[in-house]
Amino acid sequence: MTLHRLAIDSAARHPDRLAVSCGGDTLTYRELDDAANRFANRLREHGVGRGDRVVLWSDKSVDMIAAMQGVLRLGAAYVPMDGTSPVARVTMLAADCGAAAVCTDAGRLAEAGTAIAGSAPCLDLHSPSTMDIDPVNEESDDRDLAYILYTSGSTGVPKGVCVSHRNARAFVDWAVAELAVGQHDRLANHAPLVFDLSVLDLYAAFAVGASVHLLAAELAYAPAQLVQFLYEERITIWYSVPSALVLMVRDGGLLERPAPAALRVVCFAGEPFPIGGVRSLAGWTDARLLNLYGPTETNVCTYHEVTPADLDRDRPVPIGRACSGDTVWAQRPDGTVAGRGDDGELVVTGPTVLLGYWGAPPQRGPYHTGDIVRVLDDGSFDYVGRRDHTVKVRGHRVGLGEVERTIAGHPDVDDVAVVLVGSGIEARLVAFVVPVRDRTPGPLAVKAHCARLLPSYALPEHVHIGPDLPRTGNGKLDRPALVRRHTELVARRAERGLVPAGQKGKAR
Amino acid sequence: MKQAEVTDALMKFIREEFLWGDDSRELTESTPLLEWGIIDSLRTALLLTHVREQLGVFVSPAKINARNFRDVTSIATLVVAEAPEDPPFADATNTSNSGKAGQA
Repeated sequence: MTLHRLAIDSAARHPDRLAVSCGGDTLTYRELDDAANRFANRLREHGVGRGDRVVLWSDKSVDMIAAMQGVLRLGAAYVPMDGTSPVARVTMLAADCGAAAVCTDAGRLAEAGTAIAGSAPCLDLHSPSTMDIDPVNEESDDRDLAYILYTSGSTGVPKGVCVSHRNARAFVDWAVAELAVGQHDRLANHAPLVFDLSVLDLYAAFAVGASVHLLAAELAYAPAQLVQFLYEERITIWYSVPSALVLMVRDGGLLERPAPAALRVVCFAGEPFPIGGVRSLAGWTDARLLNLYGPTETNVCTYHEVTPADLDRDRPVPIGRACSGDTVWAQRPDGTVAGRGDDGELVVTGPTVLLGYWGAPPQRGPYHTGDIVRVLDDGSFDYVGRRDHTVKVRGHRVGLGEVERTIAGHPDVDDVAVVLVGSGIEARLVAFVVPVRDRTPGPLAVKAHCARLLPSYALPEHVHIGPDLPRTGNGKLDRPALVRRHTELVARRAERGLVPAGQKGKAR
Repeated sequence: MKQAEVTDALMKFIREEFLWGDDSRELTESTPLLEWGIIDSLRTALLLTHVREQLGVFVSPAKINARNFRDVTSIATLVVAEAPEDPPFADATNTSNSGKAGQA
């Protein structure tokens, strides 16, 4: 069954129930249905049809959700992009996926129209209410493409992960059953819509006629506002990266208030959750705590529900065992299956595994995650680390090679290295740039260059300009030395009383 | 609360906290902050805390959106608009030790 069928069926069953809310705007299921049809009819007038791709470039809004539904109803696929993405990046990815239309907020239309220059129509994402609301529900197969999520690849080129209706439904159907999502649930949407975590929030709600409550991207790490949102929106199912929960506990005063009685599930994913944070949450709420695991390429393929025994661990909770109908195992470098106590790369096969990357041959056979896991005594898995040079920044996978290659493309840059410093909520990308002789690119010029080509989470927070990069005896880049160099520079600033924000000692 | 004073205070904060002093003086009032990754959602939160503690202005969540945080000029406009009629600190930009705004 297709992904957009969920909201269509809920609109027929519960037309007056709340479907989506965002910053004071709301849509009932009937309103969502009408808005989706309006948008689909308008796209159709512009020639969009089955098999096409449509870029949706917008801040979170109820209209953005209606637009996603509208695209699917045409049998087309949506390609979401954050509103803060620079137009150059939107143009590049629209060209990459051969978008049949680019839809955005009124304020960005002129800019988009100029940049895209006739290769695809640019339309206002917010449809006029005069458009007809005739139902649109094109025949589509559950193996058709539903959406493309662009991720940062280790090879240095952004990769469009192609997800079919069937891929997404396998996960959504599992989540609805496992979390027993019902029509009275109120799901928080913390993740950006370009991030696969948002798939659970939206479609688990639509599957049962529940409501999803979107949190603006700018509030995603504002501790007090996050806590306020949880209470005021009377959230029953929360899903976010651990970083957001850490902030709510550390700086948002979460534990000082009694846990809301309505909150019954807290899911986290994207990065390891320090066990201390899990203990704090477990002591505060009776809600079920679940660790979900999976790269964008497979959505959630394993999960673990936190048990009282887990709280005695000295490391993060396991990523658990297979779900969503998938089969997973740990594979040793020699290709054999790792046994209990052994480490191996996690390999996934099953209904959630991606169709393939846009523009590349279809995915055949199991997906190799690049994540190293340890097989536990009960057959479930612990996350150990990455096999390659990709790192995680607040749940987003970033290829250091992609960032380095991007910076190296600046005409004033001779050499560059990018490292990750800190971990968890403090994780940040730091770039070291060696300029071309007689050129002096400023750190901001380098950032501006990156912003045109990289997603926002992959932008370096600090850019150091210097004469050289440290090498080891055999000439290889000495990344640990770079991390030390950054730490020394931070310390030197601290001596002068200048401590970068976010690195000040916080009261815990 | 004057727009120019707020602008100066914001420029100073962003330079020191997010740009390592901005020694090459690249930041301007119209530099696209979100687009270039100078502030992200995490740093927006730090900036809001600073505005609350040092300028005594609590920006309501409904006003926190990409448009209002586009550049220093936009943020300054927002802060001036959100400032209470009688600001608790008449010259808040120069009185960093004058106390907190009392926000929990």
